[in-house]
Amino acid sequence: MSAEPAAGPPADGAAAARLWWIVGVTAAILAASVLMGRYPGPYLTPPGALAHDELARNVILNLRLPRILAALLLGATLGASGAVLQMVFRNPLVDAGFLGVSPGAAFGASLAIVFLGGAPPVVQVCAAAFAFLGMAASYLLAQRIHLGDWVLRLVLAGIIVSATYSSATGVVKYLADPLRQLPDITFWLLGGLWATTWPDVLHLVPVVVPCLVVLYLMRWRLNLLSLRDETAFSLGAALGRERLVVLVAAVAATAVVVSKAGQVGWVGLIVPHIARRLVGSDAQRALPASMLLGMGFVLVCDDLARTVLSGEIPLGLLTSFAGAAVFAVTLLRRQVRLRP
Amino acid sequence: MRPRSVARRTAALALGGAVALSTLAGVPRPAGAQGALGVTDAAGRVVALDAPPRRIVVVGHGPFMTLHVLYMFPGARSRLVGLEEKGGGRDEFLPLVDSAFARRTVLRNPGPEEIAALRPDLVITRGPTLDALGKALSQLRIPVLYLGLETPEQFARDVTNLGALLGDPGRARAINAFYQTRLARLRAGRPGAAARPRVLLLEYNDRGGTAAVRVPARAWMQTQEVETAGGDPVWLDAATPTGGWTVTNVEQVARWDPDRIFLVVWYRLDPAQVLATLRADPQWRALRAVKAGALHAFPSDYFGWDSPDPRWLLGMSWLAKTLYPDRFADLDLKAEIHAFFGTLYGMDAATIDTHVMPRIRLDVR
Repeated sequence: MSAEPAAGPPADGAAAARLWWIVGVTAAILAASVLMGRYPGPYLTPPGALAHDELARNVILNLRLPRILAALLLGATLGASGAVLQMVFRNPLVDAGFLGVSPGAAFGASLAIVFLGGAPPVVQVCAAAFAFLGMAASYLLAQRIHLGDWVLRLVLAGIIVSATYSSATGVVKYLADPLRQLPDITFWLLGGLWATTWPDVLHLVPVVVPCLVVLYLMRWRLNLLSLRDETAFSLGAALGRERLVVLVAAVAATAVVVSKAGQVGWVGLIVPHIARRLVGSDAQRALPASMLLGMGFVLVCDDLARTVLSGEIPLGLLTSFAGAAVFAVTLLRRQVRLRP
Repeated sequence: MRPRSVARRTAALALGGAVALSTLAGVPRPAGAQGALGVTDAAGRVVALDAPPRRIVVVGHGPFMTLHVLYMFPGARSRLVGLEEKGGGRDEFLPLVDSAFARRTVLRNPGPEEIAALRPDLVITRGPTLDALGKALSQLRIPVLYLGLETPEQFARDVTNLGALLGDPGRARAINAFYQTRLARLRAGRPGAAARPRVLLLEYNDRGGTAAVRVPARAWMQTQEVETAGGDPVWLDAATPTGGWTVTNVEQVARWDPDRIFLVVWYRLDPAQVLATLRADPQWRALRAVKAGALHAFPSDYFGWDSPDPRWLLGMSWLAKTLYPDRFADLDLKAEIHAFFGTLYGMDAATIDTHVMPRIRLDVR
């Protein structure tokens, strides 16, 4: 199944123009983000301060920029992986969180923090391993459920796997040292980028960027991968291998960003929907649009998280609130048809 | 332009920008890696300053504990420019010590930028490891000193560190001598391990609408207080090793069957009322310690004497005298309280009598 607005896709020229518009808006948000913050006063750093205030330069270079770049990578990854998973599974209601990927990554990271020393590479590998396991378990379980169609079975399987992971994470939390380990795990459950530094960004780049490049380069094949097997086979596509490649890329990138940012929900679900509305469901445009919109959405939420109050608002809370509201409006304002 | 080229250029620009900026910014050197004043703090990090700090900010978990240690250094008071407040309102004790205390900038759950806006040259916080906030402040090259405060040994090291960084090691020695003298007296006065009573220390609170009793971690100051005062802590098998309260229940308390029960009552509750409630409870009433009248509320003044606030020494002294009234018959608690607030905070006797003594709740039964 695929999600399709009842009003039909936009024309090629209009879609291209909208993609440019998304690029422009994302760039504008990026520029504004650099100046938004709590130094030297609430909300804004005057550009003039950069000329004479060394601490202001330091705040921007060493606090805001790595965080902004991490937000961009996080948003692009969640947007892209959401779009890919929705297309590959032909299910508009899935994202990394629904299929057990994010809960799996959170469990893996918690496990690494409590029992394996918590070194960043160990946390990331463990997060990635359990994220893959989560997705595989959801997929296999869905094949064995004898209730409803594929969409429903996959959602149900994802709920089971995610709930299992959440319970297991609860057990790990219970066993964690409240002073040394529990704060790190709590960070996972709420999500946030407040501890991001340049070394963190440099840890993300080697995995996330190649995965996004792979997804980007294979975007034109995603249209084929979203077809039924028989149809795609008749068109000469080797679905098994290509599906594996895009799924591995999507899940690996998601696991790594989640290992740094914690559970940041709803981005992978709503962003692809908005992208398809704006530029059509052709993956050649929908995927880059999902990446760009994901960047913009996470960046705006993170700007609010670090600027509105003197203290930090967990990013995951903001994306969940905003995501739920946007999703409700999206579904209520225009009729969505689930097409077999 | 085709969408493919639009997105490709955008991706290339973003990636190129990221790499360029990360190269430009580099990884900042650790704050104060070189300096005339250097210490190793509770998080195991070397903190070095070129000169004593002139603008100090106190943040983090239980900031009042850190503030109360800092205020034992008279020269540090005027250098405090900001402090974090958590939960239940302003510190009512420090205005008795420092009339300008109310003018300090108050922060609530501050982020690194909020702290940086105060332009501190030293941030003091609590914790056993470098946390996210400390990591971010280090990126801004703002020195961060971690205090431990959880054991008498950690307390002594923290005081020494503060003295070194504040440029007042003499005051640190005097504070530590005050504590060591009294600790030595308590240790000398307690009996051997075989003769010690079985003691249970519990925290009682009704947060969330449900009454709960919890035991402290093995490495926490509450446990140290019981052991140093000559009690045999019965809850260690159920406690976490390094941090956190562990919820327990009356059934487990009955199994431990302690000789004495000391209750740390949450500050929003009335200790006398809590004790009365427990004595009226059929399950609690059946406990041997309760029957014997050995259910006590731990004392407090503006702050509890059980926590890793400098007051832990008063709590330890009270506990020793309560457990061994004969052995510590010459321990005059009123004189100790005067010595504590007078020597460590410079408060005169009239202020102590007028403002501190009426707030102290000793021997609530």
